[in-house]
Amino acid sequence: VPRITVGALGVAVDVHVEGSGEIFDALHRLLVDLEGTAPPNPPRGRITVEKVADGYCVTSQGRTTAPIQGWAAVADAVQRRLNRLVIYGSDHLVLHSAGVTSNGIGVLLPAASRSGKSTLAAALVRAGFDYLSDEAVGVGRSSVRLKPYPKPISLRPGSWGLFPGLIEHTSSESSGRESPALVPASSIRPDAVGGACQPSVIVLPSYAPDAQANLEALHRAEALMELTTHTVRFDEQPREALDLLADVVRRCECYRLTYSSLEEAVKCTHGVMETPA
Amino acid sequence: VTRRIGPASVVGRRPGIHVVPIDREAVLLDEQNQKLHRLNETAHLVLDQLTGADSLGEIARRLAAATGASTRQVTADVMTLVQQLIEEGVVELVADESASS
Repeated sequence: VPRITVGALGVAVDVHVEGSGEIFDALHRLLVDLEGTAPPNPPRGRITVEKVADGYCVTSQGRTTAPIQGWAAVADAVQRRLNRLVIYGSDHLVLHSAGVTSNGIGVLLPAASRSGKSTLAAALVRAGFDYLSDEAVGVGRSSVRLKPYPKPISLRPGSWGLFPGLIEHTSSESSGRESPALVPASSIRPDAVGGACQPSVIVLPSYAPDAQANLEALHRAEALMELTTHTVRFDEQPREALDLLADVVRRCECYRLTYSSLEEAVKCTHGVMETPA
Repeated sequence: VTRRIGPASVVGRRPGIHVVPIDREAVLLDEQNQKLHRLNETAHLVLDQLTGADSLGEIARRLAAATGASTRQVTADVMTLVQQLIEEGVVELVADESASS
């Protein structure tokens, strides 16, 4: 069975595709930024995509979906299962956060789901930042370095108009208009994927329609409280997690960014990079 | 029933409270109740003094001397703050010197 091995945050996942060379090729192109990053002997996960009479079924961790029609919906299903395997299988402390880096300076953009962090991450990559993730960034427990999970950037239909050339290209492969467009960062810029880096800036982004872009400095204690709410499985080992998050925050300048214009948000992020801790 | 505190009260940190200083503030983890608290600079300063050894009156006098503020005002502020910390389960009454004298 044709297989794609991808990995991040110390987890490797084998994606098997049965019965469709077309889907295999499309997934291969989609997950290209996660290939070659699988560590040699990590915990392994498995996702299987199988062609059935009325679509495709996706299986992972003993659960199989009902038949799915359309490439975009298949890609979305694979990506969701990959997220679960990587994020919950990792030994790293994992933050629900977008992340970018420039010249070794790591920027965390923690925010809730559907708050616009993927759109902001895509815009920052387009503006020249290197990509860590639009969903989850790991923190090394001994190194306190940010570790990338460079999954395809997930852009919902509402933001497609902001990336005209990019989404036209991606959606030409899509049939499910309800599903997000998944865009490898390397399709925005060929060398866009960043490596492990020092945490230096935390920006809590908040999209608000019609808001003037506003960047407000935060006390580190407030940023730490916020980070705890974006930490995966914080409650399992809260003392250890809090200590590690504090180590991250102590290395960072911290801000809250409210914006409506993506261009202004990118400009603000560039601005804080000029005066890191 | 919440017991009121006074200058003769001796207060200490409850077991299971993990303090993470950050800049001059602190974030506290109450492991038993799985709650987080953020302490501002003043509250952190007072918490540091709550070791279960000195009375609140002694602590207030010490802080007043260190800051130049009036002992009366600092004592009132310390009482208010410590009462809040007791209600939030961060610290507890260890002894009341007025009761034993």
